[in-house]
Formats: sequence, C-alpha cells, structure tokens
Amino acid sequence: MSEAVDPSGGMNLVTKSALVLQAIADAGELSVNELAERTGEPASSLYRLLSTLEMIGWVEPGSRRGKMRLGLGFVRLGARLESQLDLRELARPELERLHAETGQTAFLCIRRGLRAVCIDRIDGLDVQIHNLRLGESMPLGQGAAPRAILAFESADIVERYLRELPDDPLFGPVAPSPESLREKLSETAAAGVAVAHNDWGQGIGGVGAPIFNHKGSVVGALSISGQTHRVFHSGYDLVASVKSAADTVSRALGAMRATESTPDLHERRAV
Amino acid sequence: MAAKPIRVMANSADLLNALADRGPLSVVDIAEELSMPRPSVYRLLDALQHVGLIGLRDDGRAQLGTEILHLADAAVGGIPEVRAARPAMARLNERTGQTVYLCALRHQMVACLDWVKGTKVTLLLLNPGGTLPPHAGAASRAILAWDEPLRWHVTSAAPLQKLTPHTLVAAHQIEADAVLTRDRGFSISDEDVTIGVAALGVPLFDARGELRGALSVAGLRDDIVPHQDDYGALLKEAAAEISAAI
Repeated sequence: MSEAVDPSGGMNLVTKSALVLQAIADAGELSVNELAERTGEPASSLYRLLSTLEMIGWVEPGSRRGKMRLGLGFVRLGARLESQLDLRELARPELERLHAETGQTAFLCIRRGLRAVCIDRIDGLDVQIHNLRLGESMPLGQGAAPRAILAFESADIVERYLRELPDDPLFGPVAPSPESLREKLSETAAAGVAVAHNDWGQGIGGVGAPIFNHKGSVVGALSISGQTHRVFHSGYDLVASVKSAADTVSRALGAMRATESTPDLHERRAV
Repeated sequence: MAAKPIRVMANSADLLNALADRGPLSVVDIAEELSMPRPSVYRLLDALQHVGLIGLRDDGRAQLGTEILHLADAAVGGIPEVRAARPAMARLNERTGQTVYLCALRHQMVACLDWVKGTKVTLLLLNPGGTLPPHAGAASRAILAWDEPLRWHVTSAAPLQKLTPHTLVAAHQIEADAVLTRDRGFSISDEDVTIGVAALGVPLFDARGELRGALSVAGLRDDIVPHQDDYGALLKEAAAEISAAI
C-alpha cells in the first residue's frame, strides 16, 4: 500500500497489522497463504507487511519452514509493561471512589503465603476498624477481601490453607469446619464477591471483590467494611459498587481484553 | 524483502519501544522522541489505541496497552522450547530459589525467551525479550562453548565488549572457557555481566542433537558460587528432560 495515496496516512496498516498479529497469536504460527485465508488480505500485500513486521521484531520465522510466529519484540514489551503496572497505583482511584460513595473503610489486599496483607486503605468516617491496618495481615479465610482472594486461588492454596490453619482461633466464627469454609468459598466464587456479615465479631461486615491479571489469576482484592447495619442497609448497592471497582482495576491489568468489549473494533474486523 | 520497513509501522514500533523504556509519555514527549509533528502523533496514537496496543491514561499520557500482555503470552507460548522447558524450569526454581532463564540465539545475540523469577531478588539485567552478547553470561557461554561457528564469529571480532572487569574479552579466553565449560558440562558466569551476580548454564539440544538454546540459574554471587556443583547437576538433569521433550 502506498502511503502517498492513502488519506489515512497508512493508519489502516496499523489495523491490518493487528489483525495479522491476532490471527498468528490464535494459531501459534501461520504461513502467508493461511494468513491470507484467515484475514482476507491478498498474499502479495501480506508479504510486504510481514517483512516489515519481521524487521521491527513483531514476527519471526516459526519452527516450520514458511511459517511465521509472533516475535520476541512483544515478549520484551510485555515484560516491561508488567513491571510498569502497579496494583496500588491502579487501585487507588477506585478505593477513593468507594470511600466517597459509602463513607466506610476501603481496603486493598494481596496474598502473601496463606495470609492477605493490606497494602492500602482509607478509613471510614464513623468507625475505625482496628483489623488489617496498613501492612498487617489476616488469614485468607477471614474478612471480605482475604476471602475474595482465597475463593479464586488455585485448589492447591485452598487445600493448604485448610490443612495448615484448622486450629486458628479466628477460624471459628466464620466457618467452624473446613467443610463450611469450602462451602463459603464456593458461594463466593459463584457470586464473584465475598460477603462477610460478621466475620470479626463486633458487628463489622463488608464486601470484597477479587482483582485479576491478564492471565486470569487473582492478584488481590478490594473491599469495603464497616458496621454491618450501615454497610448493608444504606442507599447504595455495596455488592455492585465493590464489584465494579475491582473490575475496573482488573481491566487496567489486562484481565478483560479491550478488543473483546469494543464493538467498534469488531466492525472494523468485519470489514 | 523490502529494504526498509513501512514507515507507519516503524513509527509504531519506535513509539511502543519508547513507552516500554520510558514509561507513560505525553503527546509532546512522543512528538519529540519520534521527530513527528503533533497531528501525526495524534493519528498514530488513535490508530494504536483502537487495536489495544496503547492505552490512554486519565492524565492524557499514553502507555503500553494491555493487548501487549496477551500478544506477549502468545509469543512466548508459540515457541516450542518454552513449552517444553516450563515444568523443568518451575522445578529448578523451586529447588534453588534462584532465577531460571531459558535463552536462545537470535541474530547473533543471546535472547531471553522465558524466565522464572527468583524468590529473593529480581535480576534486572536480563528480562524476557532482552538480549546479552554471546560472550557474556552463563546461557551465552554455554551456547558459545558448543557452537563452533558462532565462537569463530565472536572471537574474530575480539577484543569484545567489556561489561565488567570479569568479562572475557580476548579470543584465547573465550576458547579456554569453551574447553572448561564442555569438560564440566555447564558454564560458570561469575560477575561477567553484573557485579555481585553469578549464574550457571547448560546447553539444550533437540532430539536430532541440534543446539536449540541454553538453560541457566542466576542469582546473587553468594547464592550461586558455593552451590555450583549441586546446581550444575540439577541443570544437567533439567536439560536432559527438556531435550527429550523438544
């Protein structure tokens, strides 16, 4: 394609490249003819595009002759981006929004071993929760945010937790037995949020929702906690708010692909 | 093959590389970095954002888009050596606690295809997609020891680039190291890339006996050098397992 006669300045080559990259990503590696079949582009224009993509490191020769696969350029870009994405920085605006909406205590937790560590929090306006201060941790089975993490962790971690913490004194009030905790976890997994009515006693309850990365692994959880009668009987829908805040952070980490939710792109792809 | 890449794609690559190296950038920064007029930058950003390769932050700066993460996963997953090496790499990491690298030769450089980070420190010098010259680092020197044409090519360019005072730079040093490495069965990189960091590397061959890359274990010098015999044996074991799977 000549850039001189293309009014978009060659910008649809970007779109075309993305299509080619996606097709290769889906298949692992493809020949030019297979690519032509899948993208509807003539092989002649694909040759030129692929030679450019190879020069910039976006594709490389595959393991079989004549096939192309994605290039190491993306491996490098991906590694850099992963190191640039900071969970705390991405979650902060959502913590602030939740706090402003509810006036309750907002938490951000990550897993360390079999405990959830609080890496950010904003205190509520009416009560101060003494549990889970900044840098403190709780067993994964307790409290809204920790349980939101545990419910989406691998079966391995869940079993280890049940094995290693059965006598924890705090294990009792939430779930008196491994079976009842397992049940609670599957409820949480099905609902997509952890609802804790009175985990810590003292009339404190809350809602926690998991945050996922681009691989679909749980990397942390956001939660809102406060006096049970305030958090669950107010003018806002706590479950929906916490869930949407966690989803926003997951999206920023690449958990839900932009291309899957952008109808505009599907239209472009169809062209 | 065309002599030059198509300009809009070359600009796209330059932009993504700048965002990778410098983090989020404003339109003004990008215009300067790419020597492009601002209206062209806006058009390029718009096109790249549409396909998810960049994202726009609330503050208006551009950053790498999350689609990159999926393409990176697909790129890594598309390399047969990576798939074959994963279980053995995870086990090596579990048993040593150190960073485990899988590397292969790309355009006369040794590129990191995949890694499992160490439990204690994250090594910053070599990341997935990054490269080292073939004369420095454990994976490099393992490949170099078993790849004679490459060694000839490398030594004919001596004196080589000195990364630290311990980097092998003379042809006779390279040849002597290759003999030692082949005798021992693994390479020892002791502060030749980064001061304070050491690594051990073994070559990876496929079923036909062709050299496909190298596997290495790297970490702080005190966590590697005293354990070189144990870790060397674990590496050889892992390499045999991976070779059988390629």
